[in-house]
Amino acid sequence: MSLAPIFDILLITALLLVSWRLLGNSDLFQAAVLFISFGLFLSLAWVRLQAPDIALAEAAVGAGLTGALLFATLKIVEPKQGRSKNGAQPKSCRLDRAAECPGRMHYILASIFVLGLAGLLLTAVFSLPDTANGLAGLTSGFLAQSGVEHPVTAVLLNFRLYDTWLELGVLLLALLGVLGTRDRLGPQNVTAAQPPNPVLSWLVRGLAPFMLLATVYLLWLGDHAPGGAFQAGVVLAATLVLLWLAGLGSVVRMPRHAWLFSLVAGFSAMLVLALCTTLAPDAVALAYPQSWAKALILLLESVATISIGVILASLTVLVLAGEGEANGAGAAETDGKNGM
Amino acid sequence: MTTFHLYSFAAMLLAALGVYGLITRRHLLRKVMALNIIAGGAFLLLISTAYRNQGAFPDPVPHAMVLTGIVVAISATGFALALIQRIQKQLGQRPDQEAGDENPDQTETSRSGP
Amino acid sequence: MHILAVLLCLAGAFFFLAGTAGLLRFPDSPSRLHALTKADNLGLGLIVLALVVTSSSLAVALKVILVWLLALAASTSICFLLGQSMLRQDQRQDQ
Repeated sequence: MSLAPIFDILLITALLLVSWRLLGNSDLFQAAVLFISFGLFLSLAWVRLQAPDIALAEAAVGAGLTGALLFATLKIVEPKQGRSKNGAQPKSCRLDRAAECPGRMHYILASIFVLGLAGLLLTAVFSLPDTANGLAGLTSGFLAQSGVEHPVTAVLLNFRLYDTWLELGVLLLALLGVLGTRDRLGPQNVTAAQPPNPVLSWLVRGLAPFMLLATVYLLWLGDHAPGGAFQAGVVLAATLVLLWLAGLGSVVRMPRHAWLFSLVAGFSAMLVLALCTTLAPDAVALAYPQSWAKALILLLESVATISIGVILASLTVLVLAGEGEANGAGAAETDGKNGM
Repeated sequence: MTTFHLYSFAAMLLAALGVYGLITRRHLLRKVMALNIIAGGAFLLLISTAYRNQGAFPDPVPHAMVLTGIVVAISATGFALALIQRIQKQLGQRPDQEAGDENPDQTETSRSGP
Repeated sequence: MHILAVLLCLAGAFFFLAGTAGLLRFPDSPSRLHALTKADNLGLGLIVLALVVTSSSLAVALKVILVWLLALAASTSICFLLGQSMLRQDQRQDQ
């Protein structure tokens, strides 16, 4: 166990260095690559802090979806600044020379503000007791009544169900926002990434069944081990995005009503539950009847997985595809790049 | 110095770095990355507080909150990136000039451009 | 058994180190790709072997081997895709 602190310090140094470089260096492409490694280091930290649920989700989100989103936007916003070095380099700002730094006051004020914030956070953190169980005892006490055996799933799908419910609402709102920024609605109008590359489509064809299997496995695992609707949904989203990138049908080829149904299924399933439990005479709002808990949780989780997967995949595909014809050259180039 | 202190100190530094980056970086894409670093710091702080009983039985409530947080963060990032694309299309200029306020001449000329 | 696993892990870590050194030191993209995929696949293989040696049951061992095979398939295809993309970029620059 004596090696653990060394690992901790190495990991924390890596996290801080990566985030420092990613904010400080002038090349946005490098920054995006560093951002992906930041996500991977974070998921190592989750494993170290015994949060395997979060590590699973972070590995899929931080390394997969966020990276794809950032690279696609980078290609659209800065078409010239790809792997080549000819991107415009912002001039460096030195605080000791006022002439080079028009916003000198800006930097100084920001530093003061950030130092103050850090000091406040530091006092808050170090005034916490060193050891505490938090709500762990309470959760494990009621675990037997929750219908599942894994405490994190119990919190997400039973004790704090409204968190999950409203989170699905936030996802829907984000997708609506993304749809609102385009001229044409829905991913049905998005063309598939082209040209379909034989090796990529071979790989994706081979991997997709495994990823779907992993989705179902993670969903089922959430009952008694790290896993559950969120991880499964994120893996499903990654599968759908990969399928789209390989030029195989995905959210863009779904019939419109099926697509809309999958978007709202998770949110409305919980809405129905909320309505039923509110109107039923002897029930607490959003509380399951105890004998039905397991079945209801599994049902809600499956529906939530589909919703999370389809919403995140649609969101990613829309951002990846860019504005289509409006930004013709740039978007086509991105599609080509992703297709390769 | 326990593991909790080590990681919460790192989380604090990450959040501070993120806020500094959010204020001082001018490119919108970089601002989105800075926001994500702040989110990473907040998540790390929550999870390190859950680890305070040295991993005997970590508190599942912060775990569940961070799990929702990660999914919300990715959807917010997607929305922000879509907005950046739209800003780019609408203004027809590099997004780092949009955020600048200390150099009005430059912003004006590039806005009257294409 | 335990010592064997540690030795395999160390050997795997050495290949990862070599691959990373190659990634940092090699002059052009194709040779970097070469260093990365070959050395890292071997390193991953050795670490997987170490995990198989220490694994508690056959099911776990098979799962770990499956992970290795999937990683091999993915890294091979990605290597090809990157190589193809580099080739196209070179051709575009030549024109």
